[in-house]
Amino acid sequence: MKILVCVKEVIDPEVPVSSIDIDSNGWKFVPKQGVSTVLNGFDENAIEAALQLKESIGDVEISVLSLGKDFSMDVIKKPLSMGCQNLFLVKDDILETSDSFVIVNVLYETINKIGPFDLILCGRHASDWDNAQVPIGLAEKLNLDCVTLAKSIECNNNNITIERVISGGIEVLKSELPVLITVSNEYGEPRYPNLRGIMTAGKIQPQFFSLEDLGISANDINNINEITDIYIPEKNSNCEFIKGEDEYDIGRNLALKLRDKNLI
Amino acid sequence: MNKVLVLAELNGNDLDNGVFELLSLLNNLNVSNDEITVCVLGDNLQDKDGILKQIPCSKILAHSNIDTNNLNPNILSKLASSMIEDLQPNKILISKTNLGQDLAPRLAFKFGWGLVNDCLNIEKNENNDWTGIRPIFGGNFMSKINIKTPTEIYCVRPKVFDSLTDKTISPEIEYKQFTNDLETKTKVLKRINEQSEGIKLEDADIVIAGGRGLGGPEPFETLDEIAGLLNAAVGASRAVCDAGWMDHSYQIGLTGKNISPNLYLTVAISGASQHMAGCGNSKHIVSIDKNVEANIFNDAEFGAIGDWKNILPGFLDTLKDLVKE
Ligand SMILES: Cc1cc2nc3c(=O)[nH]c(=O)nc-3n(C[C@H](O)[C@H](O)[C@H](O)COP(=O)(O)OP(=O)(O)OC[C@H]3O[C@@H](n4cnc5c(N)ncnc54)[C@H](O)[C@@H]3O)c2cc1C
Ligand SMILES: Nc1ncnc2c1ncn2[C@@H]1O[C@H](COP(=O)(O)O)[C@@H](O)[C@H]1O
Repeated sequence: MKILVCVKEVIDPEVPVSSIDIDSNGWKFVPKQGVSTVLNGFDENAIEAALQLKESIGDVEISVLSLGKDFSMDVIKKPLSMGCQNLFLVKDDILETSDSFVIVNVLYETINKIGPFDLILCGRHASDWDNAQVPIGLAEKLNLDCVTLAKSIECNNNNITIERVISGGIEVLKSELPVLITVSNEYGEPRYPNLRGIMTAGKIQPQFFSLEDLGISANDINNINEITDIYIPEKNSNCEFIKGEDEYDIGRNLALKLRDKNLI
Repeated sequence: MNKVLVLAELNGNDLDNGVFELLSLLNNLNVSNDEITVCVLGDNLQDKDGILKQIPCSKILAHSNIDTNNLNPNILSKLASSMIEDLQPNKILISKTNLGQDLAPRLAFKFGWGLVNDCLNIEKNENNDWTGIRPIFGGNFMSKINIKTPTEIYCVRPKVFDSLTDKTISPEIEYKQFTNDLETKTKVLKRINEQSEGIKLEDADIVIAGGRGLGGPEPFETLDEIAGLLNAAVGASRAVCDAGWMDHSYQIGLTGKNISPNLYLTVAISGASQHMAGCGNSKHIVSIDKNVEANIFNDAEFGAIGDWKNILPGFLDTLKDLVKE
């Protein structure tokens, strides 16, 4: 069985806003000096899901695909050190400011070249633009069924059972390969690479593609959404801090305040 | 003149509130009733006249004879597509529900139209063109988006707009038979409800939520006790749910539940933007945290600074007295 996991390298979502600049020329995030990038968290969940399928089924080859302007090899090779077999990277400056529509088209062309795959896994969304569109768009383009927000995946021959997170609980679905699934953090913690994994990964060379290799010309790259502004939302930080003789008293005064304001 | 298609969702007999909020947004944009068609997605709608008539619009389109396999998006995207082909709208509005967030991108990519996902508002310029506003980077930034395709899709975050209540209009309902093939490989087998007993988090007037600073699952017993006294629901941050102290169905935030209670009381939650994305619309936010610099105090109206281990007992004892009164 061949699994493809699509991953994206993103600015560490835990860093404060002040460590990111906005470049209004093409509208992009520019991390300040020393701010690190990471693998999108949900993509690590998707890698974990692929690895668990490999462990339970046995005969599985996991490929990883990422598009971007630049890659930090430490970050993008992490899936290999976690236990994946192949890494495909499509590199072009234009991909930095491409919208989901373009990303889907490029993923599609790449998959036509390196595929087909029985199962495609993606993260539920990328933590930089929070789009949550690429996987669903890719499924539509590949004419595959799509199941989002998986918290568990079981595969038995061609049959696949998925538990997905919905707002009131869990939905259980069945489907058949080939299918595209997005994975959520409810799947559980991704594993840490071990030393053997890191050494194996060191020996695997990523395979690079340019847009030209994929038969895509600059004219084919057209965003359909235009960003006209990016700004930091205003906050009204005029919080009233409750006073008291000690912390117990602060708690007491808080309750009295809420009653006074008719909030409880 | 716009031709706006609004999707409404009927789950059993339960009409999702999204349609009322979308109509309220359209009302803000001065879109008139005759520009709007509400398309209803749901099972066997032919007997649901009474429910559909509650929607304050003038035109409703519904397919009568459908089994959607529990609102399976793989099926409903086919159904919605056929409605879109019928109506040829230039704007489509969808509420970001379980179903909506799956359906909107599908339709966008199927037809090659632009989508503003998780849209918080729409602005209209002097040419009557629309601009969608959406949070990015977990809500740390906002962005304004113009869609360049002839039809524009907006998937709007729930609970941002109040419901439109206009008792003066009553819709004309057109039922259609759907004849295309609805078979899909993917089927919903069942839904397991993990909602805790008592008040639903999404519906509660008061929510009390705990964060990583609580240090483990035990302190949530105290939160439960407070919730009991206040008739509140309990929630948690993702850090708490990922640690397994509480089930993920308690998670509030960008990737958890979206709530807008009257009072949101937090204990040891730092207020990361991804958390606030799920509760920023609460009417009043009140927070207990030992760190006066915590982000949560940018949103909170009242703050109690200190160790929850000492503050909560004072709070709880006083509450008990107040309840007795
Ligand atoms: C893509 C993405 C999606 C996300 N989605 C969500 C989401 O949906 N929901 C969500 O909640 N998070 C989400 N997060 C995570 C979010 O960024 C934060 O990491 C998380 O909200 C932090 O949880 P917390 O506030 O409980 O913990 P922390 O940030 O660690 O805060 C703990 C707080 O407790 C206080 N504290 C510690 N000890 C005490 C004490 N004894 N007394 C009083 N106060 C004390 C500290 O001062 C601190 O303010 C997401 C992140 C990403 C990248
Ligand atoms: N540039 C990219 N390269 C590879 N996969 C991507 C890329 N962008 C998005 N994806 C995949 O699509 C998922 C959702 O991304 P998005 O729709 O951008 O929020 C991510 O978690 C990845 O699995």
